[in-house]
Amino acid sequence: MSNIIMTAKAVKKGYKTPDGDMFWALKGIDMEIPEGKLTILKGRSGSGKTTLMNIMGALDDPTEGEVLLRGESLQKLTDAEKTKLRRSSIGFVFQSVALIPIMTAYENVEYALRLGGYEGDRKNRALECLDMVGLSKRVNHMPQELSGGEQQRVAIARAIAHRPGIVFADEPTGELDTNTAISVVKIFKELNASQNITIVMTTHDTGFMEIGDCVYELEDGELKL
Amino acid sequence: MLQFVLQKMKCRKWLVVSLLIGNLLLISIAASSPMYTKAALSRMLNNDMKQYVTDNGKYPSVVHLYSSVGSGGLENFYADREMINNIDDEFGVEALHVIENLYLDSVALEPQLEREGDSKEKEFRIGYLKDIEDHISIISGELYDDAIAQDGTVKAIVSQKCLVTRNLLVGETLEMPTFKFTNGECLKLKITGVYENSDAEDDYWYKGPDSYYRDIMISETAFNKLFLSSATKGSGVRGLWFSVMDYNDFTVDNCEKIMNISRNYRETFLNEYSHSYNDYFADIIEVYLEESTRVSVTLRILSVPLYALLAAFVFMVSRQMLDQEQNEISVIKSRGAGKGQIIRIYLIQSLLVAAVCFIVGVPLAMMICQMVGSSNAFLEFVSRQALKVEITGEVLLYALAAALLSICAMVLPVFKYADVSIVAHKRSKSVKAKPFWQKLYLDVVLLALSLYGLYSFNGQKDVLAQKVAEGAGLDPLLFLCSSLFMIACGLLVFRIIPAVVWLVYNLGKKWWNPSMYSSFLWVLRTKNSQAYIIVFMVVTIAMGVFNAQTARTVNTNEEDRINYMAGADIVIKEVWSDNAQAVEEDPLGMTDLTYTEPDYRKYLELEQADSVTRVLYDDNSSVNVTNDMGGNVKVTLMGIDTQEFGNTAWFKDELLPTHINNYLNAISQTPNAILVSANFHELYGYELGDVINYKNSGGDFARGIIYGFVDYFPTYNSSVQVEGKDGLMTEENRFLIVSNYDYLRSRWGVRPYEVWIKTAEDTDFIYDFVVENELELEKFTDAKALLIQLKNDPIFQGTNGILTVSFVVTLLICSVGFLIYWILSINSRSLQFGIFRAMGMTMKEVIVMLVNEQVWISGLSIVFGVAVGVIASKLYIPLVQLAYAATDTVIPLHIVSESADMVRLLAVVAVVIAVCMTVLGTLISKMKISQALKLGED
Repeated sequence: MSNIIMTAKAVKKGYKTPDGDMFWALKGIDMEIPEGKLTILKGRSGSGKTTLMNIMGALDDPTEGEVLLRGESLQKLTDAEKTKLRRSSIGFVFQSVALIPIMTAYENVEYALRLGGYEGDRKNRALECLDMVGLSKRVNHMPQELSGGEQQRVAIARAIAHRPGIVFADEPTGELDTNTAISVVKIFKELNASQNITIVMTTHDTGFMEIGDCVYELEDGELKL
Repeated sequence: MLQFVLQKMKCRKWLVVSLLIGNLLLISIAASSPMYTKAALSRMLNNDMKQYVTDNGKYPSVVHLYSSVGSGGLENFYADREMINNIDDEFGVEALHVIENLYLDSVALEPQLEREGDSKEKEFRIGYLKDIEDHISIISGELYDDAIAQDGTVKAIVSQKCLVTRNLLVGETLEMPTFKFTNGECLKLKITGVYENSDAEDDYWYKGPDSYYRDIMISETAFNKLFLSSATKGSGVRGLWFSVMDYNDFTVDNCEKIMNISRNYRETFLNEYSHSYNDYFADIIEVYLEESTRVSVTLRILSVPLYALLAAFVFMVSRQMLDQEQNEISVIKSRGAGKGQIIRIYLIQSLLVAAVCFIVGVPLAMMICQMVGSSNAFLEFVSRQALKVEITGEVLLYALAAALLSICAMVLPVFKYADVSIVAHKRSKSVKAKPFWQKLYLDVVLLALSLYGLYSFNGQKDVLAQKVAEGAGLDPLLFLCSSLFMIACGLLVFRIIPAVVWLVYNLGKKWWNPSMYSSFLWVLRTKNSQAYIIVFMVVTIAMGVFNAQTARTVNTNEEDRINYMAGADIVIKEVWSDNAQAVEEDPLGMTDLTYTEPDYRKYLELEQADSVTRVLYDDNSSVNVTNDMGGNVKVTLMGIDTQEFGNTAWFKDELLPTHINNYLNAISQTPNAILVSANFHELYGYELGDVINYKNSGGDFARGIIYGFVDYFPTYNSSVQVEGKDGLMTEENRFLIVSNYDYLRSRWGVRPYEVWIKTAEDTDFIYDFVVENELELEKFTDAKALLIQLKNDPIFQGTNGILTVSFVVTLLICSVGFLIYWILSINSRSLQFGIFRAMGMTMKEVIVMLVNEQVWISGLSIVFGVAVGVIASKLYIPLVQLAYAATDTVIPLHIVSESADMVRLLAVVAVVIAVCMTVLGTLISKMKISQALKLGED
């Protein structure tokens, strides 16, 4: 068994409803993410996958409980420290494609390197990552000139470019056809193996369950065992 | 449908508020234009009339009719009487009094009392003044009655002056031998009383009692019985009528009609002996009518660019709103709504907005009018008598037209948006086409057009000046040209700014940190979305600068001209007593003309005067020019005390190559040194060191050595427009010689001089001073009073007011436009910020990114806006200014930019940007990243 990179401890997330009651999107989640593996977070829409992922990715704070990254609590960090953490050690692939519309595929990836303060040759690294997702021929296209799958792959390239320890992918295959979806997941697996990057992805597609090294299922804000 | 529209408006409340602001300003400014013009014109007319009263002590609104019973008989006479009695109805005003004076002229009367050394017979007028009883008090004796006594005695009264000058006594009787009653008695007039006017201010006494010094007044009834009976047939009776009307009733609306009626009567009565017609207002109204075209044309044109700007603003906001609602529109469309239905939604919304603004805008227009009316200079207000503003049909028409214009501006963009279906919308998202004007090279075309206009107007500057001198207003095309220029430049700047940003981005490519890098990319790659805001900011700021500079320039140049032409704050010349009579009566011609110098020390003792000087001013001097073109040339001679003159006279340093004091010093050392106008050199070839023989108006000679040539000197105007016999204006050269006063005095003795005074503060004291010292004045100029008069001049006041309003409104819409643009743009970019934040960009970096965008888009727009405004001022103000002072361009035009205006403008812009940044900062810092990402998914 590999090391645990991230641990969620009794994570709860509640929202105030207009009537003043609390609505609990997450009702106490305990989970462990193994390092360098593909963890799949499964569940129907509205089950709390995205919320949990945002909390683990330091984009949002839980109402109760905490998330530990390599044994350190994210909740003890200031906003600035969390930002810095995201910049250096976390990558995101969002549910809907979230490329920067004013930048080309190459620039989108390269920009992540700039932000992450990448020390090496940014150009090579960016091209390398785009190559990894099979887009070396479309580097100079603007996002709107790419298909949904291509955009998604750019987003993946961007998420891994600065060599983060952990990448969160929220429904990366959601809007893709089966073939493309499979190729995306394949890329994840390759990244696990070649770069030792931990990947957490959510999906409602039951087809990918066996590919994941570790599968959690969420239902109504609780882990289904 | 209405419900839906209201709901929709509620959702976009900030945009709706912006639309309301734009509409409200457009409508109220459009409505205020005719409102103010009319109010200003009626104030002008009223002031002209008042001025007449002050100058002449009489109402100008008087019709004067004279008639006599001649060959036309009594019938014609009565017809004239009828006409004058009803002339007020014809004019459409109400007469305060119709003063009727019927009389018999040159009646020889024999006093019954014997007097020594007095010829027996005296010539009088016998008559009556209708209703005189109500306007007199009897100071001695008693009033007449209507009775004619058996012995032919009729009681009469006379004015005090008549009593004295005709040497009459109360109680004496005068006999009229030529008038005999049937009983053989002749008419006897018994002076029973002496009258004076009961109230000094009574306008019944259009001619005061003193002017009736030959008149023996009897009662109207008695007069009628005696002289207008069937027996006498009114032979010899004359009538004099004054219809005194209230000049306040003469308004902008009726004065043209009155003028026409007056002209008619003048023509009818022309060359008639038995009767004549005259009125005193015709000249005033004529001048007024001429001036009013200039005023109304100029004032209306001045606000045209503002309409355009406001319409553009409404258009822009409307487009923003449509951009925001694009999704909804496409959804509605895909659900089967027709284009017509969508247009109708926006039409209803526009009508609602326009209707509300129409209702609020008209009263607001009245407030704007008062604001314009109380402007004293650019951005300066004083409390003045409020304008009489009224809502006329014209005002409503203007407001309605403005409302229609803004409805068009709001609905027009809908046509484009209503065509786009959801699919096309999604596809077009984030790709913005080049703005149409760039595709059409409209900016270049407009710029060429406006420069061509400038070129051709510059070519016919003289014609323009001529037109203005003849009463035409500001040329609409000319003013339009300046606006066109600014718009064209604004469009052009939109080509320049991205180029500049591109350059900067590429120059520093290696050093840009992530936030700078992304903001540059953003500016460069989304430039087409920035088109409107860039053009809008450049044009508004340029117009602000242009308005400010126009107002300042027009004001300052006119003030300078007044000061320059006056010479000093106060110029005073007393009437000097001389021995002219003795000279005339001296048969041998041995007596020289000498003057008695009034006490000069009293001026030196004036506490309120900073400095005082004597100036011998003789504009009837001459020089015998020695070259072949020569002959006698008329010159203006000024004899000055150089040092005091330098301290007292008003002069602008830039007018001469070095300070005027250097010139004055040059001649102060040598008694017969002179300064002469430069045209002596240019036209007659005089050089420095040449000697000029000159002669004053009294024929005395003096010699002077030329020590310097001047183009400008206080009060000196090198050329004037003179109207020739053929009615055409021609330019005439004027010459000047400046000499040392002491030298002239030693040569010619003391001659009447002017006293020039520079005051510490205002000039009020001088009026008391004149009264206290009982000065009789030959010449009096109060430059500060002239300046105040200038500021009350409707055209200056209106220009200042309108330009001030334009400036304020321009800044206001620039601010509002800027705010909504950025806030909306941030809202639509929240996804992008979410990504940036998720990728690990700090708050600070996001802010840096936004600030950098602002610097390049807003900052450059402001810089270019100011530059365009300054260039437009340099190019167009000299032409625009012609409309204000074409007749007397005495001193060269100087484009005035007051740094305070720039500071104000930039301060407002800075505040707006700061507010904007704060709002954006708060919006962004409140933004939850996870929320933003979710919101952005759409």
